[in-house]
Amino acid sequence: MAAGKPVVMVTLVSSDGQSFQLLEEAALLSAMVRDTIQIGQGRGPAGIPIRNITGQTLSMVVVYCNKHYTAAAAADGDDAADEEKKVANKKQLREWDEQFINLEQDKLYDILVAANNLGIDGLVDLCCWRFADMMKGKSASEIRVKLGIRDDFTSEQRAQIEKDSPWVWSRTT
Amino acid sequence: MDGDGDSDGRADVPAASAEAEISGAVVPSAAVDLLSGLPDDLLVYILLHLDPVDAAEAARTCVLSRRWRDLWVQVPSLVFLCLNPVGCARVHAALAARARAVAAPDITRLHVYYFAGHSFPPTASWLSLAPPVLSGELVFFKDWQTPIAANELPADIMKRTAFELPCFKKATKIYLHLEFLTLLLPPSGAFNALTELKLEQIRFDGQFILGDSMFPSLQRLLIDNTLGLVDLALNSSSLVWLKLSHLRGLQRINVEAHSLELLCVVHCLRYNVQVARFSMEGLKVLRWRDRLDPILVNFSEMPHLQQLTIFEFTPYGWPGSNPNQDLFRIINHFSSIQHLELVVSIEPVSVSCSSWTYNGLS
Repeated sequence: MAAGKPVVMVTLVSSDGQSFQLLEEAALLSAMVRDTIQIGQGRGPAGIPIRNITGQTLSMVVVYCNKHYTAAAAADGDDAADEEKKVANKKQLREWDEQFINLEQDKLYDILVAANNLGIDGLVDLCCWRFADMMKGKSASEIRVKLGIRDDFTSEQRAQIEKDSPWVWSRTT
Repeated sequence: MDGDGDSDGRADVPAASAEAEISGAVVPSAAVDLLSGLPDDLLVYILLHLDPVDAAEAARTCVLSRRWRDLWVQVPSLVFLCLNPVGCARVHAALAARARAVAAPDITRLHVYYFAGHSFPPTASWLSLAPPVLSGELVFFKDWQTPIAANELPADIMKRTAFELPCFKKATKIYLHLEFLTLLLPPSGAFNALTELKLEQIRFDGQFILGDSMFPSLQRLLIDNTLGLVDLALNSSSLVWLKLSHLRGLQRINVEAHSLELLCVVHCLRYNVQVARFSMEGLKVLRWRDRLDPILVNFSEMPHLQQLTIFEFTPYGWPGSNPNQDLFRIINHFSSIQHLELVVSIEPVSVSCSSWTYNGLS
């Protein structure tokens, strides 16, 4: 954080009434918060109401925003020429991300939806990566089991798919 | 949003319905299907994070359920690693599916890496499907599994197989590494959106003409390592960046590019060239690592030139020899130079034969 800059806090209020105070700059990772502040709202004591996102999920989102804001602020202060350090910091942040998002599906889903509604691109990306990770290297039936997807094709539709794209069934390249 | 999901986006817990039994795929699962209720763009984003070198992994999700069936055709990036002809069949199937899909967005990135040894299937089958569905970059990279020199390639294979590039009206970048297959351009049509073209390890059928009518937006062009290119004619009003290197057997070259800002020529004119003409009044940077015989090579005026890089200055030589003759010719072509980079080549040779060879620089 640059010295001399006034510290501005912003309050996010979850759908179940829990309040979370964080640095405005951290909250600005969210496009939704950015838009709200831009039109001159959200700085008051009432804070910014975040609809459809519970306190449990919002608390995780706030942790993510704080971490990424801090990392970005630290990177700004670093020597721009020190590539090695930059790469190391980036790797460290990625490791933190992966550990942070190592969650059960239901929590992961809630965070993905929240990040999408709040417009936090990095967090959307991270959640999508995690879901993809659950699917990687698995057969269709394994994916269905893992994600609880119901095979609702009729036999006619299944025959059509096999006819259209026999190549997708093969795992060898 | 998908119609199958509930209002809160969560689909039903899988149940052993009669319909599902027909497919024989009902497996007890503790998971609740959360994903299927998400909007398309998020699901496509998840698919984008699957195998980065095998688009088939994303495509395979079309068999999961009706919700997933047409999602993969919205994935903007397709990368294929082909290790045998079946791999190429996949590229074909994928592009055919894209072409069939009504609402699918254009592909912004199509990369095909072909490492399938000597056999080369007709590329036209998938290539001809690509132009209508591609509006970004095309990369086709062909390589043997083991490195092989150009003169060791089985000649019959190279002559037999041509890479017939169809007209990509919407593609912005094309990068071809053909391992000396013959490149054939379409007889007509314009690559309207193409700004960057990189051609590496290409065999040409004698002549290569590249002009505004076929490439009206081209800004960057690289031609590297060619066989059979005898006559090269570039006539472009949009070209800004041009790098030519190792054009083996080149006899004639004519470059007319008045917007060109950077020209780099490496080992193209050494042995066979008869005429080399460069008209590029806007040139700012010239990198020259080649022969420069004023009788053969003709430059236009370059009033805006800011940087001249010349390879290589040989500081030593036999008395009477002048290994830097060409270098002095190019330097002396300009009345004043503000920034000159000289790459000096110093080899560990016997000192007794040395004498400084800077005579000729005025």
